[in-house]
Amino acid sequence: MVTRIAILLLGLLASQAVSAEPLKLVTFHIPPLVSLSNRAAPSGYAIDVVRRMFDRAGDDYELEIQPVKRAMRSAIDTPGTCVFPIDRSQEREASLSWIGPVSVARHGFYSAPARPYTLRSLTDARPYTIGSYLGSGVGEYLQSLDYKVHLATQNHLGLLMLQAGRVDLWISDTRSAPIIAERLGVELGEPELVFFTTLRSLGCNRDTDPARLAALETALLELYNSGELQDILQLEP
Amino acid sequence: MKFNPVRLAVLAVLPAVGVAETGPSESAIEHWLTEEFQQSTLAPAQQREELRWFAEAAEPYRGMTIRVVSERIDTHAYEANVLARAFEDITGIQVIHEITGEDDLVKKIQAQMDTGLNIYDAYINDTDFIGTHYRRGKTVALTDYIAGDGAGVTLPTLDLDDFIGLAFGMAPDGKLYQLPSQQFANLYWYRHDWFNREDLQQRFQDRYGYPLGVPQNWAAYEDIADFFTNQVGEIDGQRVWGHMDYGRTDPSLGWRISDAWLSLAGAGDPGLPNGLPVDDWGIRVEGCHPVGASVARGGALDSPAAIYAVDKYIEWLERFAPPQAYNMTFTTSGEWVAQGQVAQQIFWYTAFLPAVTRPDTKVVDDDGQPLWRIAPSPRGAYWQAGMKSGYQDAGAWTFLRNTPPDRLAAAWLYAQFTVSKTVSLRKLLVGLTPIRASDIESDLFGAHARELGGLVEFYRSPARNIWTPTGTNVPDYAALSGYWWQQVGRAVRREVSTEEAMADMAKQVDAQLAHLARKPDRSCAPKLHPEEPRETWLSRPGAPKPARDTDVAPWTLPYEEAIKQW
Repeated sequence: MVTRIAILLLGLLASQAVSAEPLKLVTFHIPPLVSLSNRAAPSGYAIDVVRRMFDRAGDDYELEIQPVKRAMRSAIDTPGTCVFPIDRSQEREASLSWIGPVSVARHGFYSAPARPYTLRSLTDARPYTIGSYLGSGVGEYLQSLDYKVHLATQNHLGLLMLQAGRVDLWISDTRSAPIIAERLGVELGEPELVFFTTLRSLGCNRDTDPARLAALETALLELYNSGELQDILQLEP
Repeated sequence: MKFNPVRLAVLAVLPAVGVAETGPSESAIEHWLTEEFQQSTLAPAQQREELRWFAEAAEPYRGMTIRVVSERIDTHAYEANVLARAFEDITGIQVIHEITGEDDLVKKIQAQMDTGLNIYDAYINDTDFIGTHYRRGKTVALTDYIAGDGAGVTLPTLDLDDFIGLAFGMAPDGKLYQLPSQQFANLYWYRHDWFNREDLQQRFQDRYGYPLGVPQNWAAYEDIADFFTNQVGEIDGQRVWGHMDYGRTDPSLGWRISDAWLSLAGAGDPGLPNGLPVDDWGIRVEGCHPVGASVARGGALDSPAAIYAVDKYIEWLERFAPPQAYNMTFTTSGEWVAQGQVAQQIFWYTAFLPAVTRPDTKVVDDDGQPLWRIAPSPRGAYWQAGMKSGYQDAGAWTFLRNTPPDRLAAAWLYAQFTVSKTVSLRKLLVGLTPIRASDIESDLFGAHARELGGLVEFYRSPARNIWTPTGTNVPDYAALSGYWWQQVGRAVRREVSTEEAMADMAKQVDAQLAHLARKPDRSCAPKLHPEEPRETWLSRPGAPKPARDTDVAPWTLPYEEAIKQW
């Protein structure tokens, strides 16, 4: 079911008047980048970055919540629509117009504490069944390399499958994994191997006005160069 | 076909040795020398000495984990899966060597330059970026680093003069910014066995009036494509095709054309490495300053020769390639010729050689010898002597200045390890992407000449210097490269004419050059030439060249004659 949260940011944008309709930004639960609850407005690192970027550009947006795979489809199919924070990749490059990164993600292999595996490089994971989720750029990446990947409908289901022994390894953003594990009450150790990096970005429908996107991109780079984003984008080495 | 990581049978029997806690590991050195690095131009004692140097130089960085990234070819899979592991065993520095799509890599290095985040400690970035690196000031000049802060972590036996592609990573300021880790060329690939069949030779001669052989111009290539696709059709009961390419709207479509396709057509000017004053991207340069890409500003990106080049690419894709090629990319199409249905490919990256030399491919005979050969690519109707003859990719170690010093030092050690003489010959024999003259001239590489179908001859000839990467005129590769696939993609999909697509791209490139000209922090920044009527520029000598009759006489040569050009 699509949960719709329309948050019009009218009146918050003092720097420039924008005549175009607000962009519809579709997002999904991926803590700590985007955290959703029934009691509060969406929050998180990526939400904060996007808000600051639109503020600085003097542009306007509405937020909507959808499952990640559907969110991507919405942005690809619907003019005036963007999705974030999704992994930018060569395979997806032509489907959307991109602004980013709004976050940089490290992705690790997690094993069940009772069934640890020693992984020194990506190729060591080849014998194992790996859990990920639909819409995960990293899951798609491993599939393209012919790894045995099972894609669940949501990220946390991969962890439950790991716990149940239905997959050998679960891949997750290293910042999301401990939060998801704590919420589910699942014991989870350190990743066996942090093996891949992705640029989490805002992907907009290809028909979006290039000048509008360029203004947002410029605003984002100004935020980086001013040092404003360093605190929320601290990268694991 | 999916990417096939290098088969690593050796890993199945290699224990994890010399792990970080045990300190510099003599046993690890002996293990790797014995099990993996037996093929080297160094004597075992010299290899041992080199590896001991790595162990000692890495001592301050023991226990660190560094991150590097490279594109998706067999050579880098070998580095990621074997060399990174050996390096960790010997030095105690763990390397996460990521493999990803070339465009993904481009976006990542651009992101690190734009945001200041330390995303990776090193990149294996194509030297097509050299124009960006020396202009933006974000990249470590290795010449300075080796002489300064990096002196203590620079391998005494690195022997820079031994690198055949060193010039590709050097900027007009005379400094080295990028050190090659692999090189591969774009060459003509064809089925030597089919071309030598007397029945096919006779049929070709009867129909086209000249011998079936290695095409020397695009007219002959087109005839041969027509011959196999439309006249022969089947060989030994199997559908065959006279041409193979890829056409999916994807970033790799961009480099299909920007990797010197215009210069093969003859769009630019004579002069090496890239054409002067108009280069293989159709950009005119004055001094070190790009002044325009459109004909109106003296460039050639929307010139008759460029339109002819892209028109031929599209026409051949539609008329002669298998239908599925239209939706393929660099990665999915690269190994397709190994399936044994393609007679020739005008634009074939030798990075895919491992796919056509494996014993299980359909393009080697029962003795494991190739049924194919590689030769110089034929040239288009505008090409003239003295022009660039093809493209060569040089994936090169590149370090950004915002990398913390200890991480930079550790990454530099790993980079040197992957190109050291201890490992480079073995890496060459796995990935077939040579970087060192000493390896190329070695007896061991020479012994593989027959099975490599012309690669050894190419790299032992001066041709290796004439097949060149994108040059220094391209002032911001990441910003400009997207236009290629987006505009050519529109033309491939027949949404617009080729003429319109190239005109739009020329305008976009000019606009981006103007944008870069306003950046205060760029050296050798663009200085746009004022617009003049197209006819004014087309009437001047050199590029941009006026339209000419492209219906030229086709000609071919026997293989032995064709490779004398090398």
